[in-house]
Amino acid sequence: MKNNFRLFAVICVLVISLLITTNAFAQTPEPNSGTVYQGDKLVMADTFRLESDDVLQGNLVVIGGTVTIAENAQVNGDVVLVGGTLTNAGIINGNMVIIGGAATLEDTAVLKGDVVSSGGTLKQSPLAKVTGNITEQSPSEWNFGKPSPWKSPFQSNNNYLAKFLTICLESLGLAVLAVIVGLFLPDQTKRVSNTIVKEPLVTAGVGLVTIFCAPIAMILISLTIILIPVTFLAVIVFALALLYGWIAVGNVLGVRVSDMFHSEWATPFSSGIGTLLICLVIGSLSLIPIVGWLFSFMISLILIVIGLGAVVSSRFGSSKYANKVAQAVLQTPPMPVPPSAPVSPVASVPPSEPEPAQKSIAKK
Amino acid sequence: MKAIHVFFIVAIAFILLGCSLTVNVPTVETTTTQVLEISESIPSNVDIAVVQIDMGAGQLSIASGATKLVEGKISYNVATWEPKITTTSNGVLISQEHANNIGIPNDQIKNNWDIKLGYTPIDLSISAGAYDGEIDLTGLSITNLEINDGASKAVVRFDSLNPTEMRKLVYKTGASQVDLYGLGNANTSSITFESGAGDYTLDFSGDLQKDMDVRISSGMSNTKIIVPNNAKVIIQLTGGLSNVNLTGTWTVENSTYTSGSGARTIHIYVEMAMGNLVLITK
Repeated sequence: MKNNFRLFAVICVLVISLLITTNAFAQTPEPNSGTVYQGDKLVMADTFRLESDDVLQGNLVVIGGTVTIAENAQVNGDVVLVGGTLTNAGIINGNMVIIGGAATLEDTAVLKGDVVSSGGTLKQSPLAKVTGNITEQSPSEWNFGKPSPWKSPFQSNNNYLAKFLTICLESLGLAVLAVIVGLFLPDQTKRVSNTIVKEPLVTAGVGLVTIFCAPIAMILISLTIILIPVTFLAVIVFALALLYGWIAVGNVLGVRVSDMFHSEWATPFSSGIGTLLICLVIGSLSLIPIVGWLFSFMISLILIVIGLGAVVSSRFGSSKYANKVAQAVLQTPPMPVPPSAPVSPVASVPPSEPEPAQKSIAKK
Repeated sequence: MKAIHVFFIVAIAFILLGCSLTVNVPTVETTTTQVLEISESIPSNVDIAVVQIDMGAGQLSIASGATKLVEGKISYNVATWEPKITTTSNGVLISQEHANNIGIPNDQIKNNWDIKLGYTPIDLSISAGAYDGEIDLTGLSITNLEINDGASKAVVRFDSLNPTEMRKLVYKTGASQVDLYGLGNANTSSITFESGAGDYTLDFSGDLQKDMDVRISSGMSNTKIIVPNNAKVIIQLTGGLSNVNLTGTWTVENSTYTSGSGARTIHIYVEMAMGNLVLITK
């Protein structure tokens, strides 16, 4: 246990160092046309233009900014657009995720990957080429109902049948949401779940750091006044990350359950079943008098932290970077899965798709 | 159960570790305030001059009143933000390095751009980061207008008719608060407005000279569209979940909203993923 603790402490320090380094926005000088940008590029609340013949060897993340990719420019990585705008007339060799932003694919645009849009708009020229699937997730069918007011855990309510039915309905609602997420974001959900399975401790560490640091970062950003819209956006992204992490944890459980039945379920189904089970168990625990709420709260907190960590580590599962943090920290090959352990279907990768962690190392 | 105990011990240790962590928040180093005077002449043998403004975070004020092509001054107190003026054969580029300046701004930082433009026909392009802008194009002859900005708070206005026909007006913005007033005076037939998450107002009042085709593409936003009664307005809404609030007289058919009457038509296509759309006639 002592050794484990030491190892975890070392990992935590390294993870923090890595995160700080990541958030330092180290950027290469603005080059002239035809220059190669090495590494990931973060555009936050700013403008950025990838000129013709420029190449970005890494992922492009746009948060509240405006980015233009000129004709013949190239992005060799995934593109994540959160609350900003992106105009692409060049080539993107990767997937594109749009959350609350507006993306335009011009006549000359080529996108060799999938496009997933959630709360965003995608304007595509008929001449633009997208080799993958385009999934535009409309939130119109979402209905979370009226939020119930918070109740004291010591509040007496003996109508357990009614409370249990309420828990069942709420669990069912969340399970339906998990199914929808699994339908629209199957690969992303697999990647996030994969991160949880491979490195649960590191994932929990990242989640813990995020859950403490993210609110502080938001407050700091909001102090700049002009970036208050970004703060608003960050709160939305943070809430989505929590929810998505919860569903990913549900997917892990769903996969385990499918293994028990010696079968392989589709991601939407395993996500839905797993989320339903987790919600039912935690909800039922809360029905235990006096201490039930404490168990329920603590287990929920643990799952939220792990799920959030996985979402952050894998960047919402949008990139093929799942488990990159763990790999960077440990500097060792991925932990082999014991033969006796149930093999998760999410761990299997199609032959055409390179293993995420291996790709991230190769980039370095 | 043992695993849970281990996790809690680790969690507490981690929290303590987090509390003792020193994060060197990057700051922007300031110097004494420098002032760059701008006085650029109108290029000879050119019908339309090109003015490009590329600034980082700060305050931007653009208005008419110059006797030359561009006049004004830029006050700044960050050494690496020294603006550069590049004169080309057909105009001028005023730019500033802003990609490498990451830091928490404070009250000491100054980056104020006070620009006056002349009355010659101008092809105007503005690119800016997180800035506070007041762009008053009233009385100027703008033949083309393109604005790209990040997280900004900007007001663009045309209080009188643009004397020259504008080919197109393109505005792309990130998470911002942007207000465009008097777009009917812009004297253009094509407006493109693309935005991320934010709060936006597009006011089409003014002296409409021709039919106008407007394309609005927005992510999660609160968008207000104000249209005049003296023109026929057709707004077609597509996208996900949007709450539409109507003020004034509107005819609604499916996702098409029609109002007003007149010789000119403003056709507005709105593609909004999620948000609030307010349509106002006045």
